[in-house]
Parts: sequence; C-alpha cells; structure tokens
Amino acid sequence: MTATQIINADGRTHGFAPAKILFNITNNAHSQFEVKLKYVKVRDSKGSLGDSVPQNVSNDMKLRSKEMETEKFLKAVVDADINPVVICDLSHTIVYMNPCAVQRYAKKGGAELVGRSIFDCHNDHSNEMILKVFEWFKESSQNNRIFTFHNPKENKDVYITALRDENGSLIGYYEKHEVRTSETCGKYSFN
Amino acid sequence: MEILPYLKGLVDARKSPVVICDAESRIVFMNKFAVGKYEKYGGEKMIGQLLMNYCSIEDYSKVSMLVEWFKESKDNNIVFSHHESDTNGDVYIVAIRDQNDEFIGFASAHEQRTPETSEPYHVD
Repeated sequence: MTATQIINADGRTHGFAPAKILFNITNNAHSQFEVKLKYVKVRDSKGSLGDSVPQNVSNDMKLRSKEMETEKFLKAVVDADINPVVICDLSHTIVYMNPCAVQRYAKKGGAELVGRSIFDCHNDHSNEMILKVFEWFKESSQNNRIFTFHNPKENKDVYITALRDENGSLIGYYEKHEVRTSETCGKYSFN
Repeated sequence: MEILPYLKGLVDARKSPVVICDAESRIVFMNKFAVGKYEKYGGEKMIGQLLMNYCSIEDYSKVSMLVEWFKESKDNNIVFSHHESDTNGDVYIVAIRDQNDEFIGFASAHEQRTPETSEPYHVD
C-alpha cells in the first residue's frame, strides 16, 4: 500500500499515512505530498484513527489534493499534444517541455533545456523579437497572442501565446504551433 | 517547481473548448472557453458530472466505444470526431495517459484550419 509521509511543522516525521488517509487523497502523486502541520489524523491499515487535525488544515489538504489531480490531467493533455510545447516563466527560463518538444529539440539538449534561458536557444534577432512580444504582453491583459511565422514544410502557423493566472496577471508564455492541413480520415475511424 | 498555473494558463489560453473527462467519463476540467460555450448546460457546474448527462445516446455510445479502444492499447490515442464548418475546425478526442501510459481519461481537442493572415510579430 502506498504511504504518505507526514511531517510536523517543526520538521519531525510524524508518521506514515496509508492510502486511507482521512482526507481522501487517492492519487499516486501523494507520495510526494509533504504535509506541514502540527497534528494530523490518519487511518492506519486497520482503519483506526490517529491524532486529530484542525478542520482548516483538512480543507487545505483536500484543496491541494484536488490541485494535484487537476495538474495530472492538464499535464497529460499538454503531453498528448502532437505539436511541441515549450513554456517559459517571466524570467524567460524554460519551465516545461512536452514530449514532442523534447524530441524536436533533442539536438539542442532536449529535456535538459528545462531550467535554461530561452535566449540560449535562439539568435539575437529572435531574442529581440521575443522581448518585444513579452513587453507587449505586459502592457495589457488583452494582449495575448502573436503570430511569429509560417512553416510551409509542415503547413503550420506558429504563435507566441501569453500565459496568465486567474487574475489575468502574466505568468509566462509559450510557443504554439497550429497545423492548417485539414483532416482527411473518416469520423471515428479506429484503425 | 509549481507547474499547475502554467498548464492551466496554457489550456485556458486556447480559443477552443477543452473538456477533460476521467476514465469513468466524469468531467474533471473545463477551460474558460468551454465554460462559456457550454453555459446553457451549466458551464462550470458541469465539472464533476458524468459526460453522458450532456450527450445523446448515440454520441455517448460512440464515446463508450472510444474509451474501450483507448484502453485496448497504449498506442490508441487519438480519433477524429468531426469537422466544425462554422469555425473551420477539426475536432478530435485524445486519450490522456499517466507517466506509466495507463489510461486515465480523455479530452476534446480542436484544431483550427484557417491560415493566419496577419503579419509576423504584428504587435501594434
């Protein structure tokens, strides 16, 4: 059975919660879940209850669990994109590449590009344009997408798209590829 | 590294609906565009509901067959669903898999086919 390590606020290990942790954390990601609180209440493998936990902490854990579940699905969706996705933060550091991007940019370092500056991957002119677009993104929450070039070989239009949080604040940007060739196969053709 | 805000920002930035369902066909996420487009069905309130509540029997039957196909092999990952003439978009249903390639759900994906007409880097 997968266990979650429970760590007290002072850093001491409180114990290990089995999968039946009180807060219904059911996804696999909870093995990385570091719980910083004073008291927790867990069920052991026999279903017995342990120490008590404040309700607000319980709610925080539920919320975090839900976020992890959402992240799992969103990551899987972006990973499933057949076009490269490279995400940068506000310091222009690459924070995420989907598998297609890792493969496409393998010659430049592939997955090792995560954590590097996007400016290391482009020439001076491209970097200048990226900065120009970035400044435009910062000017207004309505400025969110710029067409950058057309790739005739793959019939793709490529954009830089702003990434914003729920308040509309800029948190980063990414390169988006859109294929313009229409689908030719039949509907729901499984083969 | 907190990656969730970036992923959510990315999916929310799409100008087409993205609806994500888990392996039991329960809606677990809708991007902002989908919430607006399906407002008449409840918008954000659809999250947590079964997809079958919003489909015809015929459509849900197709979805059920598709889910079984996704489960059959980790190589079964995308199916063309239909073309939307009003947006000139091709609509697909894609499998969602975890890092072990286990099937955990599926999502809609819209691909716009109208070529871009604006100039590159036209920020003004």
